[in-house]
Amino acid sequence: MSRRTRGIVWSIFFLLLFALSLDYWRWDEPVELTFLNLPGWILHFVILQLIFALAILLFIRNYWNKEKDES
Amino acid sequence: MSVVYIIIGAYLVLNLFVAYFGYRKGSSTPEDYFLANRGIGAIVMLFTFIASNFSAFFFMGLAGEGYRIGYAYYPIMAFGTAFAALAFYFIGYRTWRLGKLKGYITPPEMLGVLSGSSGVKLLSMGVLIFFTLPYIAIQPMGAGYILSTLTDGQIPYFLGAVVLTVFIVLYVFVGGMRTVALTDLIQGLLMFTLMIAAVWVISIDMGGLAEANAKVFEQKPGLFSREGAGEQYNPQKWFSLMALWLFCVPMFPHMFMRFFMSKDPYSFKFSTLFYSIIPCFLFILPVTLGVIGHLSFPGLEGGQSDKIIPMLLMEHAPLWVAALILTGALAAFMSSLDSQLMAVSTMFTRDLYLSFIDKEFSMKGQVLLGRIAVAACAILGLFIAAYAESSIFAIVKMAFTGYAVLFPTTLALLYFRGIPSEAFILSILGGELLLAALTFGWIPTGWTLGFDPIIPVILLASLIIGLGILSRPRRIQRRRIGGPPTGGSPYL
Repeated sequence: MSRRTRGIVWSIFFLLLFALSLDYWRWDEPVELTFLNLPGWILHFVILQLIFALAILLFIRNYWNKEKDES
Repeated sequence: MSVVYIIIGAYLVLNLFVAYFGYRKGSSTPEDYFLANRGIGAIVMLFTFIASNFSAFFFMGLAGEGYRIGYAYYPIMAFGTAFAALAFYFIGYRTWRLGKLKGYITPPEMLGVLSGSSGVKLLSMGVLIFFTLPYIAIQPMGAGYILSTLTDGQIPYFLGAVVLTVFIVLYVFVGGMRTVALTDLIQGLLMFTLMIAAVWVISIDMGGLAEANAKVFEQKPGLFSREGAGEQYNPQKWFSLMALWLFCVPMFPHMFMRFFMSKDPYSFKFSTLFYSIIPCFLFILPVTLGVIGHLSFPGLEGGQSDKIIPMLLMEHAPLWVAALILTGALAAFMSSLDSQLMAVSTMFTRDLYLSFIDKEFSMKGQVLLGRIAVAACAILGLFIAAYAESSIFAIVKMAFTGYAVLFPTTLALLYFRGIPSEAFILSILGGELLLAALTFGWIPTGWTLGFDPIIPVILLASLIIGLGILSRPRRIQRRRIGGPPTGGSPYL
């Protein structure tokens, strides 16, 4: 895969993660309290953020680190 | 009461030591004073991004929003901010490389050279300075509230604001950017630990966080809903607020300028990675305090809820603990205020004075002018703080969108050649005009279909740039990015 193609794939992947932050399907559901009586839907975002951070790590290793002309 | 003065005094003295260290280590060159000689390593880089980014907005504005809206505010700040870490790569890294190659010190300088247009340079400088002034103002506002709350009014609001500002002006004078970065490290550490301590102390006094949350849920379940209390959020607004950060954070002058300061690629990547994960853990803290604040202080209106954290601490913690924790808040304000003052004075000195008034201005003169500009902006900020009435959040939200107008221009200049400079000028002017029109009601807000101004503004600014890209001459001269521009530039 060329660098350009990989760049596009990464962009789409991150856009997908962004789309997952728009959890509209959940807005009509009743709120359930969970850990420390925080609203349950918060868990979705905690997990999403962990995935995002992991994605950034992989992005750094597999794409950013391969950038030419490191100065 | 004296314990309060001792704790705060000790903290301020610590900062002065660091200021002195920054001064001793530095030389009187502009690159050193304004950019710490492009030598900031990984840990300081991370902390300086975080500390200068998270400010009175974090300690007070976020808690205020948590109080007004509830937990729904958390994902917007946490994920939205983390997502902006991507811009550290596609905007920040390229900026860093160009800066190292060409010696750029400020964002307007870089944009001006890349576009070959001093109009773009002036305009971007104007936007960045203009919107930083209210952002500067909220820090002394926050400091004033905190000092007056802690000392039970012994230090009146405005005096507290002035004292803090004078102190910061002093240490920025002495040490320049290096001091700012080093104090960010201390201030960042303090902010984190003390914010965690605040949640701990307050929730324990309320009988535990689970207990507190349960009680609030009974009284005001709206704070736990997806739409937020009072159904503040609809899908369009949610999307707008989630997307806002990606466009505005890299454009904050104190962030944008930090892109020039990294020592090496590793420091850049390190800070990007941690910037992407820290908001997750950090932002839940003030929002939670805002929510459970309803138990002790129900019925706060508008900007009053910005003060919920100092109020809760005074209510639920021994005085010395409150003083210690609120010193963390002062640290947050200081780390942002010094960065913003530094950024604005740098632009004023380099982009306005040096470019247009006296190109041969000596290095010593530049540093001196930088210091004068710092003092002047601090005074302006205090002036605004004296008369401000809106909530902290409302004030800065408009400023954030104002910054974001520069995003399409910056992106285009970093990745495309040959776009006519008129496109950038129109994009910036058009975006800001649209923002003003929506803010002041010249255009009915119904026309935005429920989206926050950021969306139509970014769309308009991008559209104009898009047209600019399409209108490029068929045969664009082949040259490496950063090569000699076709316009006249004072730097080459």
